Amino acid sequence: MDQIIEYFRMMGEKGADGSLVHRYGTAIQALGVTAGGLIGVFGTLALFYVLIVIANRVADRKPS
Amino acid sequence: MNDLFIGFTSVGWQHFVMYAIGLTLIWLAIKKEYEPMLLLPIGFGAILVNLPLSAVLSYGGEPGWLSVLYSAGIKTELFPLLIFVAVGAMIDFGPLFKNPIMIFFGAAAQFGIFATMIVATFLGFNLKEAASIGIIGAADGPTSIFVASLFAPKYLAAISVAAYSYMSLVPIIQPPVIKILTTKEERRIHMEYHESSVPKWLKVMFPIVVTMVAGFIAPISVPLIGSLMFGNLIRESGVMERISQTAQNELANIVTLLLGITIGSSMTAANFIEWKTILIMAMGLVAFVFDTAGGLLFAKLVNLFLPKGKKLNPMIGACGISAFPMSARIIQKMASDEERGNIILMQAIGSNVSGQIGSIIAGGMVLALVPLLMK
Repeated sequence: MDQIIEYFRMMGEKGADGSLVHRYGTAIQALGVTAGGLIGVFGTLALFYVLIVIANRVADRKPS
Repeated sequence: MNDLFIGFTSVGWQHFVMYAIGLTLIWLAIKKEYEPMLLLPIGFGAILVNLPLSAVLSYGGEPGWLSVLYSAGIKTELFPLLIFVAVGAMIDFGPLFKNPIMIFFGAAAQFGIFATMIVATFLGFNLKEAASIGIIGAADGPTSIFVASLFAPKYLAAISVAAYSYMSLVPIIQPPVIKILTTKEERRIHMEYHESSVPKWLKVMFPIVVTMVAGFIAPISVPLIGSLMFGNLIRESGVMERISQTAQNELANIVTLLLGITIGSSMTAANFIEWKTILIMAMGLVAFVFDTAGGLLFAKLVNLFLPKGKKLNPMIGACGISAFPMSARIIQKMASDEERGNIILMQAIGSNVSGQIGSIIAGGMVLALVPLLMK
């Protein structure tokens, strides 16, 4: 994981004059945020899904 | 003599452009009823702040009342968070509990945030600015303001205006995108809905568990998700009815009023009149289109794996954007227009409230990941 972050970080590296060392560097960093962000959003909501399904099953068994 | 006419001599053409923008926003609020609670104060704030000498921002070396509000409510991120408490108190997650699968559309429809962020970097914005612009796609004003105030305060005004403007334009933006990406048959798909009651303990536990889980996964999202879920807990607890009503009404109204005029106060001609503002407005539209397409195409993808008779109406996916409850209403109207009696409102609302959670989690992810990559 650290290596992946390091790769995307490196792609946005700036030279002494402030210009990007790597062409499309910022866009590639944005791709890194996109990949991490989408995985994070889907992962978190998938966890909520599992919790709701479990809660629904418990509710079905338990008389309200 | 010059001092006598300073009001006339201290303004330039840029100020007149801002008056025109302010008046347009007020016109949209009153005549078209586009998010009037926000666009009207934003429009008036834009006029106030561009009047000669901008006395509302500073006067006699002291900060003016709008500067005080800006420092207290936007820089501290207090106003958007208070709005979330109010929004949380308004949301009923019941339709989501009955159709938990809808939660995934709340994730898929955040695609626009990230796609727009990538496009913005190609247009020359740095990563933090691009992320703030992408967050317009959260279709969620407070999240946009929260992220922009941290990452791109310079563009806060343009981003806020874009976010609220496009939210009010959802009835115009979503239908053509949906029609392009779906067939008539797909829009006519019926979905079964079984009415069942949700136990109170589930409604009470949900905001607590969601806050805790989000806190462990994306700690930076806790102010956003925590305030939304706090509002929801007040609502669902059943023992704070008076407070819940206050959050939904008085708190929402007062903070919206202050938020609007304070955002308007950041629309100074020097800040607002530049070509990047136009780009931000255009990117906002791109974000909403990508959001709609992302949710909708995800629903079509899910349909590939579902047996005949169990297929989802793919329009449900488009509701995953967080413009609540407008998006759900539009989808229901489109379904009824295609075929009278086709009711998919509850599923649409389930997807729509998931979008609320999804957009906040996405905001938290952006807040966590961008600094990590920029270190």
